[in-house]
Amino acid sequence: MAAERTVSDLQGKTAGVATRTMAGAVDYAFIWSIVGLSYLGLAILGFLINPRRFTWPDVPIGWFLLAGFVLMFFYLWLSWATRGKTFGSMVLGTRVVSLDGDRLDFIRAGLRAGFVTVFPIGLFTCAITPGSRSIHDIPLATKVIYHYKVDQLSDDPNPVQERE
Amino acid sequence: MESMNRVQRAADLALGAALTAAPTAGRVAKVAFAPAVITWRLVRRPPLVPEQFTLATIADRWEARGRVARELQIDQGIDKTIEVFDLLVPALTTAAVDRIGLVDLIGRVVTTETVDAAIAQIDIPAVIGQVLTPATIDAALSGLDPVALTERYLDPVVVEKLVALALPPLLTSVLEQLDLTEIVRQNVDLLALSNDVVEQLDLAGITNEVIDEIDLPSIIRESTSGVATEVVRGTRASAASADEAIASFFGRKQRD
Repeated sequence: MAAERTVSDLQGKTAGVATRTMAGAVDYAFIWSIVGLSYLGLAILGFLINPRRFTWPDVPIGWFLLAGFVLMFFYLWLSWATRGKTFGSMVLGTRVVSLDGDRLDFIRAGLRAGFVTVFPIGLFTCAITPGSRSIHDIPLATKVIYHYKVDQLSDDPNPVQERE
Repeated sequence: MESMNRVQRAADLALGAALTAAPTAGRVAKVAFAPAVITWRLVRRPPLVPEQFTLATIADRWEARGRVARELQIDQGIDKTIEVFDLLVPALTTAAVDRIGLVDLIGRVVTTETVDAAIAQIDIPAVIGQVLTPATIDAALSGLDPVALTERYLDPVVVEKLVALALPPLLTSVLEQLDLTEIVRQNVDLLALSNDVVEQLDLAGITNEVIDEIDLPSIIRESTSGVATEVVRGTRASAASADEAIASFFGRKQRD
């Protein structure tokens, strides 16, 4: 009960490093799962086309990384530009907004997505910066807040209006 | 008494005389029979006499006339007699019954004992046996047309009512006597029957309908979301605590 009360009290405040790291981990797991499943799908396709001479697809490791980063970039971009929530954010109850609390526009969301994809370690800077703002947040004038109120994993009918 | 004796004596005398004369008379008759017959025929129809004047013709004519008269007389007499009887019989019967006291008489004679005795004397089985022999029964039955009889006496409405009255208790008692389950088990190929039923059923269609009705996705969503929500809440609370701990470690308060 105490934890729940804490959680509801935190609604709208800037999220700490632990929460954001966990959200990022969930997102990384999600993206790399998709990459892995894509490889598996490729293998199955190859098996269906030529079952007798089946070998596992020989994809260079760099391609995996490239695919993962590209996927991550577009995923983050679309997520932040629309609802401000990735899958990890939904699970951990955070949201990326501008400093005055509005939804990010496409350009800012894209820039932030590129920055985070290229330099993910920068996330940890929020542990020491004032206002828990990471190195990505400061130049783009964004912040990450606790956003528990929509306590569902799926539907968030009016994400922009629902904040405090 | 006196006159009676005299009549008796006269009758006896006549009988004695007749008995005495009878043998002689018989002999005389035998001898004289043939000539007498011939003579009589000659007298009745003498030769050379026209037919209409013969004794026989005349006698016939008189006889016929007399017969007509007699019959007429008799008819009239019978009519008269019947009239008299019509008058007399009721009166006489009434008088006789009154005299006899018929009711009392019957009451005295026809008692339970006498009737019982009378009935006891009758060997009823024997009587029935005499009357109802196979031959008589056959004869009676051969005269019957069952279809015609049925049509004539069995009104459909009556039959319907009878059936409605008699059938339920009859069926109930019959069913009580029967072990239907056992009969079915012995005589019915249940496997084939159930196969037929299964063939008739669109099991796939029914299953699909049921699944459509159940709305499985919503059930799964509800049942899993409860668990998921608990896990998520716990994770969020832990993460928020960690945030606070780290922030305090770095010596600053979280700002909004």
